[in-house]
Order: sequence, then C-alpha cells, then structure tokens
Amino acid sequence: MGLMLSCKDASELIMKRDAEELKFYDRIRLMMHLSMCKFCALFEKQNDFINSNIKALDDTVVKEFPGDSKERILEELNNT
Amino acid sequence: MSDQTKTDSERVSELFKSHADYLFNYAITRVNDQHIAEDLVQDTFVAALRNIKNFESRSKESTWLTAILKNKIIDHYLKKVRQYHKESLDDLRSVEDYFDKNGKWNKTDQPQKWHINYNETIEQKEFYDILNNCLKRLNELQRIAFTMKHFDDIKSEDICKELKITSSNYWVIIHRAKLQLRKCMEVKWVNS
Repeated sequence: MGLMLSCKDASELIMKRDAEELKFYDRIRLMMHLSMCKFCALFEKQNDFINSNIKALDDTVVKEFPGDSKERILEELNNT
Repeated sequence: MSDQTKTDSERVSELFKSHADYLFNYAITRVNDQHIAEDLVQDTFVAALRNIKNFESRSKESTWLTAILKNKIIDHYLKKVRQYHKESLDDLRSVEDYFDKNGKWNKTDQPQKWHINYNETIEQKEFYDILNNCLKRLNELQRIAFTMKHFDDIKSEDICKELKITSSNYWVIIHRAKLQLRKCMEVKWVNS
C-alpha cells in the first residue's frame, strides 16, 4: 500500500477502525482517500449507521417463541 | 402464593412465561435457526431449574437467564467452528468480488446515497426485520464473528482466540460480512 489507498484497502481500514485505533500513517491515508472518494465516504457513513443501530436488535422482539413449542417446554418443566 | 410455597418447577415455569420471547429473540439473532434457538432456550431453562436454589432473587432474572443463554450460544459456536476447521478455512470467500483488480468498487457494488438521517436512531420494526433478514444471509462463520464483535462487544483478539482463526482471516470475514450486509440493507430497506 502506498500513500494512495484503494477503495478495498480504505474500506478495510474503516472496518478496523471500529475495533482499534489506526496507526498515524493509516489515519492520514484514510482521511485523504475519504476526501476524494465519494463512494468510500458513503461507505463510512453507512457503516457507522449500521454499527450504532445494530445493538437495538436485542431489545426489539422481532420473533416470538413459537406457541406450540412453548406448551411443550412448559409441560416438560412442570414434570421435572 | 408466596415464593416459599412455590415449587422450583413452578418458579421456573413462570420465568419461562415472562422471558421466553426475549431470550428466543436474542438466540435467533445469533444462531439463525429456529430449532436450534428453541433448543438453546430450552437448555437455558433446564439449567435454570437445576440452579434455581442458588439464584439470588436480588439480581435481575433476565440478566441471570441471559448469562446462561450466552454460555449455551458460545458452546454452540465452538461446535460449529470445529466443523469449519475440518473443512479448512482456505475456502474463505475473500472480498475480491466487490472490487476490480485495482481495488476500486465494482460498478454494481458502489455505495449509493441513502435518503435517511444518519444521526437518527431507528425505531421502526421494519428496519429490524430487514436487518435480521440480511444477517441471515451471512454464512455461519461470518455471522458468528460478526455477532461476537457487534452484539457482544468481544475484542478482536479474543474472538480470534475463541474461534481459533488468524487475525487476517478474521478481518477478511468481518470485511466481507460488512460489505454484504451494507449492500443488502441498501437493496432491501433504503432503496426498496
């Protein structure tokens, strides 16, 4: 990787930045790339958006426990 | 009926009635298979019944149950990952097909504008439905790594250790999972 990052490398650095602080050199290269590439700038925004909304999935009951299995398990618990 | 006169079974049955939906939802996000999710929740309550005498009613029931379920899920992950290691990690699909040979976005994979307010927290059920469906499309190993990172906040190095994968494998898995998820959200949610 030279000073100019490819989109592939830039998106990977965005990913890594979620988990750890980037090296100074990588931060500069990423900043430069993001200022020039509108697609990666969008990717960055959308990645952040997904990250910050994803957690709430645990608190939103999308699927309920299926009713017939509920009955079965309750019966088993009661007979133990 | 006071707690003293209730049998252990009765107490656990009551816990089941009030927490089964939450726990099932928690499990299915992480294992993506209805039957496995049901089994994991069932195992959780069997374990709860065995340990209810040690349960301090001062701590929160839901926290206690979630902790048991979490362990069951990790055990399940480890079983899955052992299968993967048999097949070898070399077959890992890389991120190559999203980019051309110079590393530029392929035309069809270029991120498009989303007409949303990025700072807003989303509260629509629709959004979470779609997010769930997009998570389902990830392969097993992607989803395991992804949920450990994003739902359970486990450090990258610990995920690698737990799943016995190298750090570069891990980043390929996560990178590809995110590219896939972002695109799926764009197609199914934002621009549908």
